[in-house]
Amino acid sequence: MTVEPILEVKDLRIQFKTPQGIAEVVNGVNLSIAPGRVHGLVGESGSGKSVTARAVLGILPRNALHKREGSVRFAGEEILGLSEDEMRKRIRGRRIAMVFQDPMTALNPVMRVGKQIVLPMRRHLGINGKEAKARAIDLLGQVGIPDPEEKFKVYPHQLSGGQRQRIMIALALSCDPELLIADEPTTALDVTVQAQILDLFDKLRRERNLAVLLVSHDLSLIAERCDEVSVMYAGRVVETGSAISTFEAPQHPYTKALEEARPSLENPPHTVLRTIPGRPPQLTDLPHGCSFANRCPRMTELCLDVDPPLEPGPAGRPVACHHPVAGPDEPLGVSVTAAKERIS
Amino acid sequence: MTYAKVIAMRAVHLVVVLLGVSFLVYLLLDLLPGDTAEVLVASSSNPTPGAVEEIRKELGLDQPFMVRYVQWLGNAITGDLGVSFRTGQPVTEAIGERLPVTIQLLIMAEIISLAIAVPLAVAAARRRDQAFDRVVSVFTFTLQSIPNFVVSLVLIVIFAVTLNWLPAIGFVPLQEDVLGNIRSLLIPSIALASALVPLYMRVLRNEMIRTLQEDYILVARSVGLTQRSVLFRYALKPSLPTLVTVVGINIGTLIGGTLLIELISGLPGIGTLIYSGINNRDYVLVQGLILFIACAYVLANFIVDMIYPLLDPRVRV
Ligand SMILES: Nc1ncnc2c1ncn2[C@@H]1O[C@H](COP(=O)(O)OP(=O)(O)OP(=O)(O)O)[C@@H](O)[C@H]1O
Ligand SMILES: [Mg+2]
Repeated sequence: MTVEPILEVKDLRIQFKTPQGIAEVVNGVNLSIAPGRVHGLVGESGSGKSVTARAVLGILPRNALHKREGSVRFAGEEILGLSEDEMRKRIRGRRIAMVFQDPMTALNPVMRVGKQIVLPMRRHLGINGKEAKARAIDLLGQVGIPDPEEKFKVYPHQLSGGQRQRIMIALALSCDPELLIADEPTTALDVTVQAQILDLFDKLRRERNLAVLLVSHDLSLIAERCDEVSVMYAGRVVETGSAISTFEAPQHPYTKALEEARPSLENPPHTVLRTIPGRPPQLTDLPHGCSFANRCPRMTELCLDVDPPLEPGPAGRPVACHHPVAGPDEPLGVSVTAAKERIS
Repeated sequence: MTYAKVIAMRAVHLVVVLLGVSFLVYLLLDLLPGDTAEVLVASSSNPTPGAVEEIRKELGLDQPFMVRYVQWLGNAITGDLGVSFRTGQPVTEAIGERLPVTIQLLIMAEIISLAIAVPLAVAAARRRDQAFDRVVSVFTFTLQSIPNFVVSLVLIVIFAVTLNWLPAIGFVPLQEDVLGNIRSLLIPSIALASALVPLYMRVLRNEMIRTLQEDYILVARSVGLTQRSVLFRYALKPSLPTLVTVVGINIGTLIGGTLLIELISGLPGIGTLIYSGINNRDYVLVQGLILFIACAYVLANFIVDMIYPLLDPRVRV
């Protein structure tokens, strides 16, 4: 990539205080997104995708520890250490906006949707109520809401799920942000509406040169809609690169396993999907070495002792693995008995 | 169901409740030993034998219970609650004279309670489990454990007797002197509020904490709204319905408290009227007053119920 990234996350670490102890939820996340690109973030449930997304905006849950390591650079500026006040004034909603998963709960049920869009505009753009309203109605039209003037006045419960998600997107776009973080924006919607919403992102990205961080656990969706992708496991990015090559020639055994677990239209009917055996590690008690080791068919003793760094692998894309898969035809399992005995 | 239909159903409910209440009120006083006739005879200077029977006949007290009840109810509906035999004044007129004082006291108590409880609850919810929240919690628990007549006496000692800032007792009518009027009701209304603030504050704090965990609050934060906007514009309104319910439920307790506080502060309201009625065994007056208070209570709750749809568009159609 030759373009300056709009967002660059380096070695981000986030911990939570929990009754079981300190949970290391994000353990060195690296991300780099260029303007006008859609960057996918995939991983199993609980891998830390949402926490990463929220950390970029500085809106973590209350039990997150204040000590945050790493760096989040946005448009060249370090924003991880910015004060709440600065974040509110200059970043949140203004330059980075977020769309959430569940449109049924993301809008205030007792406030008219128009007002919800107008409030941030009045705050960030310093425009009066009339201008803000005109802009909001225009925006509603752009995100594909029919009768924008009418819909400006309704309450969320008077709209369908798809319409609410469009409202949510209009709200996110209201101040013309440079980066849009969409945390599973279509998971709660049915398939046709899903496609419409994703087309909308595509249109916005082209028209506004908007960078999009698209969080999802749906591999097909990511493969289809993203330029780049980062694969997360237990709070780490384990592999990253262009979406096409990542899924065609996965280097990390986890990516490869995910890819093989993905239902595909090319498979003959009734193909049994491979699932990944085992469970992700306890975040309050992470292993010393690679977090994926206990589930990995290529695991060796090295994996149990040393956490692999994220470095260019055989295909040239960064991967965090001691024994990356070299080619698409290489068998996944390379059983190493000594290490197996050590963990059993 | 449409809003109109909801109101209509509530109104029917209201009428049924009022009928029941009136019957109970009448029955209760009828069951008490002694009646108006006996009191009248006992208080006259030279009672003649058979006078009690005579007066009973005169007042219609010899009629069967149901007949008397229906008659009384019929009159009550037309606004005739009878005549106080002590003062000769129609009960309705006496209520009309005293009512403004009590209503003003109630309104001031509610306003003061809400004006203190709402900001306190919002601030405590925002800093939940932190020092501020803990201090407020301890303070309100302490306050709640002190009966409000004690608060009233303490306030009188401090602000009236010692500092001489406010009058200890007495009432200045609104038409005469607005400032003096408010000053004369300040101590009693604060005393009444002292029981409500802890309650309102705790209910709203808990409700706010719940609301602040909603997704739409995260959305409000994600678009960079100020903390103030998030709390007051986004979180407060959806947290209000429970508070409204609690306000409604406590109207009865508040009215009860008023009766005592009026006595302490020497206010010419409904409370002192009831007190003198009971002292004088003025059955007609007491009966009328209890019926009136019960109606006022039921009506106030009806009004409170009607506030919900204004707070939640999902109920309003
Ligand atoms: N407030 C919190 N306190 C403690 N642990 C938390 C908190 N929020 C999240 N976690 C934990 O952090 C991990 C990552 O959560 P996160 O929500 O980022 O997952 P995710 O990748 O978005 O998963 P999903 O696909 O289910 O949305 C999970 O194990 C979760 O239990
Ligand atoms: Mg998530």
